[in-house]
Amino acid sequence: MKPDNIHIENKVEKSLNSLNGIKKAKAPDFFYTRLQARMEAEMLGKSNRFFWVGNLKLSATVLALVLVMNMLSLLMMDFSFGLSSNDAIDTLSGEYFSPTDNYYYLNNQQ
Amino acid sequence: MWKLIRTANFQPKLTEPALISALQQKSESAFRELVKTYQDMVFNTCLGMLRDVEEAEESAQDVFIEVYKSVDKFRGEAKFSTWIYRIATTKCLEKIRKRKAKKRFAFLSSLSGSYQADFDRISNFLHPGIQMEQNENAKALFNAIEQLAENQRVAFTLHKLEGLPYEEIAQVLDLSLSSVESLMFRAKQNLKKLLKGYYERNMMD
Repeated sequence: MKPDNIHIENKVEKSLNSLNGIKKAKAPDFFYTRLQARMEAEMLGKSNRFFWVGNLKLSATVLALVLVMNMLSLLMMDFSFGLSSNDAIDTLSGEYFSPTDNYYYLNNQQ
Repeated sequence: MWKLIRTANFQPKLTEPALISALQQKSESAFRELVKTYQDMVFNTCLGMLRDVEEAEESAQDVFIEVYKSVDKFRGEAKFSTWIYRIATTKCLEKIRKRKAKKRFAFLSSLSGSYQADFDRISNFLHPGIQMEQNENAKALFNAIEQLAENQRVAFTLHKLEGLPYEEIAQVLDLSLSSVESLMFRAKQNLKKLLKGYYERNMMD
């Protein structure tokens, strides 16, 4: 059975007016204590994790160390894989430009 | 960044400019005074918008943290409470957007059952300030408010739950008075449509 429109209109109006005279909610007890604890925890977490970012000397030292290690690893790679430039070009072209069913270049490497 | 200075000479119940000035000096007692003064206002706004006690408390905390961090930027062009309302509504909208994003991945969350629990909690939420005989009507209204566009939702909530006049809502939303009037008109029209649809569906069963 279809409800009559007047009844529905009444319900809609009642719902729209249901917030009239609403009382304001109060913040939970110990709100400030919990807020303070959260701020202190954030302060502690922030200072522990990223303390070195604010320290310019330390950041520069870490950056320099990373750069030196990168350079060293590049130099060491150069010594260990002492391929001539022609060999390197051949390997590269074999890997990227050979037909998909041509596996000769793999045998040639061995 | 977080550095609350304990000042012995701070007297509670300062005037608003004195409170703001003390906050800008990161006084701990001024911060406590700020929270004590505005915690109910902020929590009530967040609760009205988010319909979840836990999320409302978390957002209210976010608001005070933001006030603490940005109080230096407060220029006094609007009332301090208006500025706090602006932060509160922004934080709540951020939370609502995150909730919507979570809804898009509801399938994954539903595997753990956590999404359904959140959804039930929000759709059955009852504001503690509502008279008992209005509970069912208010529940339908809150569910309809959730479907409004963001600006309409904020304007309606601030007006109905916080009792703000249209002029102050205009300042909070940084809109003209006529825009707020138009927002409220459209909000009421949309709510009527949504509620009509809801009652037609539910009264036929």
